[in-house]
Amino acid sequence: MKRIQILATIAALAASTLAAEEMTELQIEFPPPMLTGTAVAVKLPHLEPLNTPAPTIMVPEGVTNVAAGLEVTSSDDFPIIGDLDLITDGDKESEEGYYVELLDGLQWIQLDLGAEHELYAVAIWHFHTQRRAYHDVIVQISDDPEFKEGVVTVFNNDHDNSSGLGKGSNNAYIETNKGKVIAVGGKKARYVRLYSAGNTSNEMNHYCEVEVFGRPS
Amino acid sequence: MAVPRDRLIWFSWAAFLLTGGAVLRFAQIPERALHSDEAVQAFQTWRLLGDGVYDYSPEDRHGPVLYLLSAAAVTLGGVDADTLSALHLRLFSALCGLALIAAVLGWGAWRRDWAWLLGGGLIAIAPFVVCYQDFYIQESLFASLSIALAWGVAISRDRLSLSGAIALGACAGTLLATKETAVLHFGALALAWGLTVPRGSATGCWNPPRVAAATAAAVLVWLLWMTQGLRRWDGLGEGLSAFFHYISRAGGAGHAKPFAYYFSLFWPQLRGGVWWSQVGLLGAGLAGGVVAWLRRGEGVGARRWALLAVFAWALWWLHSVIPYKTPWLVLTPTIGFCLLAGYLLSAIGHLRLRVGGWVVSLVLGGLLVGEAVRGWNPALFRYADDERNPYLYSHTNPGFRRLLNRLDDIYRVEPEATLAVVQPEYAWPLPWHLRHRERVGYFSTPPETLAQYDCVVIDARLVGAETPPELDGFVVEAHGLRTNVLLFLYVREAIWEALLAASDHPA
Repeated sequence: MKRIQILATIAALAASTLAAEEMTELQIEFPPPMLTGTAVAVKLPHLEPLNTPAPTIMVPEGVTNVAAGLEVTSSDDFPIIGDLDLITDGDKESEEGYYVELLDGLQWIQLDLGAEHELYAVAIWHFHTQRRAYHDVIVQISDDPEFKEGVVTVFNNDHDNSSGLGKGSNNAYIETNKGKVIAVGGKKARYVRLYSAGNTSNEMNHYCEVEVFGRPS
Repeated sequence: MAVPRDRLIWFSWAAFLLTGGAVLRFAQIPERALHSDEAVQAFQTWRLLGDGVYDYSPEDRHGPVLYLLSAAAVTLGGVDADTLSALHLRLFSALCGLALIAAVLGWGAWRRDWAWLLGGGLIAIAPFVVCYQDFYIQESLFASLSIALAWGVAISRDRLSLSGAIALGACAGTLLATKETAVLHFGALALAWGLTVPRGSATGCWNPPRVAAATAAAVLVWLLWMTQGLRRWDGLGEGLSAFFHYISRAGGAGHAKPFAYYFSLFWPQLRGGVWWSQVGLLGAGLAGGVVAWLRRGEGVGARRWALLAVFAWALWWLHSVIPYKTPWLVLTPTIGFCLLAGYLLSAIGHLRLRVGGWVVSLVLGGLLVGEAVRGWNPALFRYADDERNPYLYSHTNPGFRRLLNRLDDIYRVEPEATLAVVQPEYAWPLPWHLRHRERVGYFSTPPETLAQYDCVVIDARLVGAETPPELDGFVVEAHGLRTNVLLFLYVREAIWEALLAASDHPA
């Protein structure tokens, strides 16, 4: 009983101390915008390096780019600019004549490796002559050409599930000439599908090159 | 009295061309994201509607005419500060351009003059002209006033009343109060006058009383504009000091470009897989200018066209020499080239050729029209605000709309969310789009209190590869502002989760 009384006294003292401490409303600053002149055009060197290093991916001996020269199919089978075969022709340049432009909105391209492969990495080059990031970049692998069953997502930065393919936890990234290398970890599949839904500059989708590193199962 | 049938036909053609130009301009207005310059002008007009005063700054703001006139125009249309939108203001710019086209076509129809009718038609359809006559910046109003002044001066050499002199003076005063670079237009006009003066008639109809009247009108009108109706007398000193500021900016101020920049805009080029060209218009403008110059001794009308030709080309060259360059600065000379192209087609049409001058004129005219029509879709619609459009400069990316939509999503679930915008140029046009929001702070560099805000829009160049520690735990999205300028939007996780829960795409 005495212990309870002591504890109650301490609690009351603490409460009154807190009550006595002055509370003040948090003041947040809202300075108005300054009226500026015409923005100077920002030009970046073509090969500007970014601070984020590319991941180091360990692969077994005999792993090669199994996508080289493969036929590519797409949700947009009549690209606005370029042909789908530019995606696996080995050229990673982002200049005129080296990239394909697909329609706006969510679009995909797909590679058929011919047979099931052990996959260790997928490397993607979107348009990278200017600084931009592509939205809802999702990479999936499957043995089903329709991607309805047995689908494994290896990269997904669609963090609001606007694509309807699930909420992703990967980060958005700014395109560079080094491409985006995604670790796949030796998972097995025959088909590789890559999605995107526009970019920070416009609503179109672009690919310069895709490489898939693996070996036959 | 019945209108003569042939005049009816002329006016019908004029009405048809004017209607076509209007349809193009109105249809194009919503296609393009707001340029940062448009947003800054719109913001000032919005403030004027709200506060009743335009705050002129000689360092970086233009004269008050655009804001006062457009504010008056939208007010007449029943619009106030709460209902003002960029569409209203772009409509004002489009109407300024259409007023010039109507005047040109009307003049041509009244005088049954093919040169004016064809020239007016080319102004109505040229993609570069359509694009910048829809921009809410000074240029559309400025170019219309400048061309009107140039033609008025050309006529005044041989025919000038006292009221005409006063009108020209008032036009010059208004032009100067619209934009300080009017001095370049005055210089080009003076050169054109001097080079086309006939022997023994240096001043034409400009006797001392008319010169005095025009000068007085110019000064008085300029004064009225700069003091905003004699209400702000400090506008007078600011207006005079503005010229010194603009002289220093002529050196480049970040916008320095080579001499051939303006030529390169119109030259055939492949950008982003699309072919662009208005070289036909450039060539026809040059050829029309040469023909006008060679024929300057053939009478009053020919001399007027020669003056217009020298004015347009002198202005083009002046802007090419000055290091500071932005595409819209050559709107006035480009309109001049359209008129000169019309003059060329008319001149060829009157030639006695084996096949008939009118056949050659028809073919050339067809090529010019074809070049313009071919450019409509890419320049005005499909790539209206795309970075591959060569007529645009530092334009807001179409991808910027995603950021606006995302902010709308956030405010829908958290109307009182606080936002910090951190960008060296304050991320214009974002302040325009958020003008009704009070809980937004703008910074050119990251403040120490960044973590206090519910959301942060920050230039990617200020962030680097790692998330700032004070924004740890925020959800981040990338958005585009302009070419090579990315913005990261950081959102407090609780707000993000509420946003996802309220969205159509449950995770």
